[in-house]
Amino acid sequence: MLSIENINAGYDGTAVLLAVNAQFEPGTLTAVVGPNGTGKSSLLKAMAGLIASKGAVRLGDTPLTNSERLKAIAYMPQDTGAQSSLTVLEVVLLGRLRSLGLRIGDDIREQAVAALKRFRLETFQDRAIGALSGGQRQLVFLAQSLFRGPEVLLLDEPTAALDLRHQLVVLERIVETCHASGMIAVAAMHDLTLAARFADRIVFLHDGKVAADGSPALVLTSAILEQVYRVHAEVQPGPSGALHVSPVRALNDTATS
Amino acid sequence: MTMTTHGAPTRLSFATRRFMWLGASTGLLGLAILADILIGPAFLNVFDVLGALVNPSGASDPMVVTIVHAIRLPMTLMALIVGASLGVAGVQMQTILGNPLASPYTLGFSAAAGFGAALTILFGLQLPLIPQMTVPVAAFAAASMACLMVYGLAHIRGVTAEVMVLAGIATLFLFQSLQSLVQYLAAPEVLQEIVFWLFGSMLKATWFSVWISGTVLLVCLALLIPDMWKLTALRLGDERAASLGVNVPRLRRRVFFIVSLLTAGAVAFVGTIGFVGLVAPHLARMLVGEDQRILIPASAVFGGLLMVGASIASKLLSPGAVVPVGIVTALVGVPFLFALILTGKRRHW
Repeated sequence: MLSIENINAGYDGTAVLLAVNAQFEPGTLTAVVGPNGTGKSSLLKAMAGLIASKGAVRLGDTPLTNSERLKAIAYMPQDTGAQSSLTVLEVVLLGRLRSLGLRIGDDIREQAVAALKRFRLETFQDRAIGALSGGQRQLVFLAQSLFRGPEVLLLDEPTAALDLRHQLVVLERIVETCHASGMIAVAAMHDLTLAARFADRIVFLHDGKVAADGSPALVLTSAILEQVYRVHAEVQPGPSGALHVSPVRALNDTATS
Repeated sequence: MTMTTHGAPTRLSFATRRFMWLGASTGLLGLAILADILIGPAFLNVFDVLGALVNPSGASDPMVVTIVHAIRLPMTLMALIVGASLGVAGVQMQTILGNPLASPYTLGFSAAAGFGAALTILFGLQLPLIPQMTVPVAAFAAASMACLMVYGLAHIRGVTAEVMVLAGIATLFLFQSLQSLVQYLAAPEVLQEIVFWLFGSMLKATWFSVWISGTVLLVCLALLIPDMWKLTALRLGDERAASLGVNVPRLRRRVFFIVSLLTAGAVAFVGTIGFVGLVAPHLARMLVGEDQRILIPASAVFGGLLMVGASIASKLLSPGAVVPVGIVTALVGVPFLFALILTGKRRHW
């Protein structure tokens, strides 16, 4: 189990996260949701050890230092349009940076190609990452993260740049991996309907604090959406049985973005 | 999924292709080295030069042996080492600063070396015991000072690419201004000597400088080997590299010092050489990609090729004389670069 205790973090003296506590079970996907600027990305970066933070991150009973977090936890940032001419295969290989030497063994290369095959990207292996579409690029970076074989995978808006089909592909692969390997996945997301369908748990962040935490059925309610997002929204079961969120109107003119 | 293959080449063909490029350019470099040794203002017979090169003790004319071994070989090897050093320094500068316009010039090291040399020439300073080393030592010391200035600023404000580029450009302008001031103050005959140093010339090469610069290059290459994959990861951006476990500030700091050493080691003996450190990495990247395991040797080979090519051109431009090589590096390199930009399909940056 991954647990975070009293995580506090900020930038330039401004607090962004205020005593955040949560626990994440093996083999599950947790969606971290909330309005823009509420600290979702900062929480993931703090958990990954990429920004300075106070509080504890424990894997099992073991508290992890920042450098230990970088080893045990894989973090997939938002797609910012990498313009590198690194090939797709090289990008995936970098997922196991610590195992790479002057010579790349056939076994590790084959495993990297297998990671690409999960996303039907093997034919792109010699293409430059900068020449791919945003959606393809995001799939390559997900393949890289999964190739790393992490105990914990943190994803910052993994479906933000993707079309409908690729949104489903990405989340299906993440859930599959969680179920198959016991990986803990935590994803910052904006699409609440997708979160309701794929996540085992949803954590609502509001002003740097946890506003609600539980299964989608428990926390995805009109009342919580009104409190966190300042919107009136209808929450009803969709055709698949998962909850479907339909925003109706903003409750004031300044709270939406 | 609807993605199509677009006839993408196989892994083997890509790997083979880039090794073929490296092999071909290394072969071309070998030919250029030979040509540079054969060509010179003394108009020696080709077979006499080859004889002196292969079997010095059996050569009929001792003057030919002296010219080949005491002048041409050190000049050619120095061109090779300086080119390779600037190529490697350039590719690392572009990598750690994430900037395609970065080169050993960017952070002001070359300008500082020029200032150190110019100041020594202006005041006619000489080191005791080793007077012939005065100018190189001053150039090296000034380049090291520029390195410490940039690092000091980056240390205070954070070792980011933006801070380093800004601090480096400020340092560059500072030392260029100081260089100009020294030139303004210099008497005409001293000014001529300063300007000749600043042009960059292989005529200053000796076996001693070959050994020193060659050792610096080899040491720096050895220091870069453990970080090759981390440097490759840095091309995905600081955040992604950090998420893969790279300590980005530490890597940037370490490589920054290696680049400083490479640049100072290259320019201290032969003077300011422009263009090579900017273009050689681009030529290499276009042909072999961004995997630093092959990009570093390719940048060294292309740097060497540009410098040795410029050395040949410097002898051919004015028969019977040697034009300072620093003047012709761009003349040799620009056609290469334009040809690759016009014919290359691969996005290289």
